[in-house]
Amino acid sequence: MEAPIKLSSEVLSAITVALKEEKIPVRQRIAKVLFVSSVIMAALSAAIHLTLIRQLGMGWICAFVAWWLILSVAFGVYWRPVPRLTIRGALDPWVSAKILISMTIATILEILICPSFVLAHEAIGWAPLSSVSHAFMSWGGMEGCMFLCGLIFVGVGSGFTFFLVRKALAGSSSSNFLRAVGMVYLTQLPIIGIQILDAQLRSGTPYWIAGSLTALVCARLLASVVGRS
Amino acid sequence: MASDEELMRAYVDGDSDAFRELFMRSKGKVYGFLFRRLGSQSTAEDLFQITWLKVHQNRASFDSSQKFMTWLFTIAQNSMIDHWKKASTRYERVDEDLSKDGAGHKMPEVDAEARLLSLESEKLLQSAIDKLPVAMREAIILCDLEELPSKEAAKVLKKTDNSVRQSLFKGRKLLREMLTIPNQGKE
Repeated sequence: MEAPIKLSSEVLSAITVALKEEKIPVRQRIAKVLFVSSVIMAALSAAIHLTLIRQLGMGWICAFVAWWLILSVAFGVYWRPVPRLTIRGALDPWVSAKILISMTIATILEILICPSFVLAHEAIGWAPLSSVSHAFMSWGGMEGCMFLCGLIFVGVGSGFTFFLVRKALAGSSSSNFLRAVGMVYLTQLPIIGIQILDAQLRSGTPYWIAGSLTALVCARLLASVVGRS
Repeated sequence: MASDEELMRAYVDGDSDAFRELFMRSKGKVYGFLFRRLGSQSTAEDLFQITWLKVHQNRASFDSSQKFMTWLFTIAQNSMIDHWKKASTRYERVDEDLSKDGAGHKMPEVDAEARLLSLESEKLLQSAIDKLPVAMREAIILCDLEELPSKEAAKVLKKTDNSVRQSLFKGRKLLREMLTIPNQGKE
């Protein structure tokens, strides 16, 4: 009996790539990890600096450092010389690393268009989604706006991330899903920290967290439906 | 032509060409073994990946005095046992839920994909093999379908050579009976 061609080529290529990667010296691998995570963070933090020209304080710098650390560790794990095979329901370390990388990048990109943080519209005319923000504020006040922000912010990021690792999450156990949620929250910690440091946003942080939790519960329900189908 | 064991030694030393050759030689046998035992294409695919992942992770522990095929099938067999352990826990939970709802007992059944075997004869053979008791099924799959000597199959199944031979004998007999079309004129 012959194994399916696609499956065979995936296994063959994953293992041959891992064998080639094993030959790369550790120093070279570390240099690659640091270079890539630094380039990504430099580009994203420069973009944020442009849009947050008035607000870039110590809190933001700490957040950038935290994200850079998360990205470096995640790339380090992702590029370990192991076969990167996606097995249904198995949250392998390289899949976890993929979640961290995707979620960190998605979070920073979302900040670029988040009306709560974008304050440079006077300087560079960049004010996306401000009408959405106003609509949220008029509907539910600060609390409702923060709840919806958390829901959309984490919902979009985690939706995109979980889509990327859908095969590993499909039919996954609850403990695996909790691990994935834990990784999502790890990437959100700098954002939560920034909110707590900001006097205007601080009171709304619990609502933001409640919204983000709602988004993750929805993602879990969606994943279980996908897994069953 | 290099033997499987020679290729395995080269693979342990990091030779990707040796791995490629070894993989091409044995992938069909491993997949066939898993598919016939599990009856589900998607589960066989998952366990096929897990088996090769374990081969890669444990390649340094390969004993070169051992036959590669025996080692490979042992890994596949152990992966399958792990899968069944996990699955049985899951099905126990499903059964509990169903009995609470008053629904009937549902057995862990094979996927619909299992019924999509392309050849009619293979379909018949597969369904007959599925009906065999586990010990006979294992012996038939390893010795007759994957062409492993009974001694090597015994190592994979952690049984004695004699017991595998016995299962093989009884299994073949049962299969013959199942696959023989009954004479319609005969009462």
